[in-house]
Amino acid sequence: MKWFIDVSTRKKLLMGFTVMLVFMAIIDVFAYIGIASVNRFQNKMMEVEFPLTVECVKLKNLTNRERLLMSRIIMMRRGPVVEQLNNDTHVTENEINDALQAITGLARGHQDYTSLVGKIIASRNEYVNEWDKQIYPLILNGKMIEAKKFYLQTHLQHFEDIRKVATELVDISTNRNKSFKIQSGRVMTRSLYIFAITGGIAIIAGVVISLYLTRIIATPLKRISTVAEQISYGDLTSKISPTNRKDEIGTLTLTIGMMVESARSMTSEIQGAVKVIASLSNAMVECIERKDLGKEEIIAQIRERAGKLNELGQKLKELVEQYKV
Amino acid sequence: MATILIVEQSPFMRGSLKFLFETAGHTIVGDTNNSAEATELCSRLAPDIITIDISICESGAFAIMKTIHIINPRPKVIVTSMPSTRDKVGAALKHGACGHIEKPYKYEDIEAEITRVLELTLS
Repeated sequence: MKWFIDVSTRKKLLMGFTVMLVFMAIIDVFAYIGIASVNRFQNKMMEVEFPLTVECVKLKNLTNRERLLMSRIIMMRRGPVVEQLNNDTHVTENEINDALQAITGLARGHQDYTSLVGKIIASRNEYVNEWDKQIYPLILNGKMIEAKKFYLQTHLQHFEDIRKVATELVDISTNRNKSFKIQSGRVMTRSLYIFAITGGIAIIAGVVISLYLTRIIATPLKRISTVAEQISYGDLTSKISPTNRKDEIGTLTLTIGMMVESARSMTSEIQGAVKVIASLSNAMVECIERKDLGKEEIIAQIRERAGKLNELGQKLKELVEQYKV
Repeated sequence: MATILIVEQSPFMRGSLKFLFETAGHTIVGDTNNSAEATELCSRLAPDIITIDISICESGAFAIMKTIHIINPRPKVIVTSMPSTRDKVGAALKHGACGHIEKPYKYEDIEAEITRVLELTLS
């Protein structure tokens, strides 16, 4: 990971956050795919199978009601009540036709449904024709025995056929609904697993990236700030650990290290100069106190040392001028 | 890794160079700011490389470089200069310097120049 340590801190942070964002994006994509799949299955159920089941059940109920009305007509003699009941059967017939129309529309494009709907319509046409053209005219003519015979044989057979096919249709659509529900459940479970796994990986990656960035950025900064604090108290004995990092931390470490070493070197120069000043000063005092030297000699020696002091002063001045204040 | 003697006018720059050379893994055998001591240290310590501030060289018309070469021709000389004294680098190279580092010092420049000069020594 040397290359990563050497890239700038800004790029490091950008890369770290980008990796975390990528993980979040992956989680988002998986969540979207999962929810979209579940939604697709639910739409399929609500578009065809569920309304088809409802319409088929409605068809069966209406057919039962119609059959009940026809039974009552068969049980009665000709009269106003029979006509009224026959009108009721026509109303029910219209409702049945509406239901059949809805079923036909829903079954369109589904081969297995359309063939069954075709059977229902065929049986239904025969059932209605037989009533209108054979049974009901016999009732009107008072031939109740012949009418009952038709009603309980072929007409009953058509009624049973309609109910049987409608039940078959309900069974198929119900089974298909169950299948969609199972598939939707599977997709949901798979999505949850993927979501949990990618989420777990993202959390682990986030923690690892955060710890790693802390280790390579915050820890060295803390170390440098500790040394800088010691320098601010005038302690130049602190040592900065050498580093060959090429990023801002590396530059800062080198700069602080150079600064400490420069200050140490400068202080050492000044200490040396102070020692020389002290020794020259002592030598001048000793020279004045000596009894064996004449006045001229003392002046010459003092002049010589004063010259050295002057040179030293010049050197110190040059040193101090190196500071920009 | 090389042994290095620093001859530099400014204590600031001496300190900086010392830290950078040590960071690069080299050993500083001595440092000074005057030509007489530089000659003495060179003969006593026999470093692999001597860095000389070009403003010191100028005072003695590259006297240090000549003297050092007479005393011990083994050490390679690298001159250091300010951007304002860059024009004197050519003359220094003619007087036997093998390399050049410009101030303000940068770790990468120093590492690259020392490596280049050490390779020259080996070849």
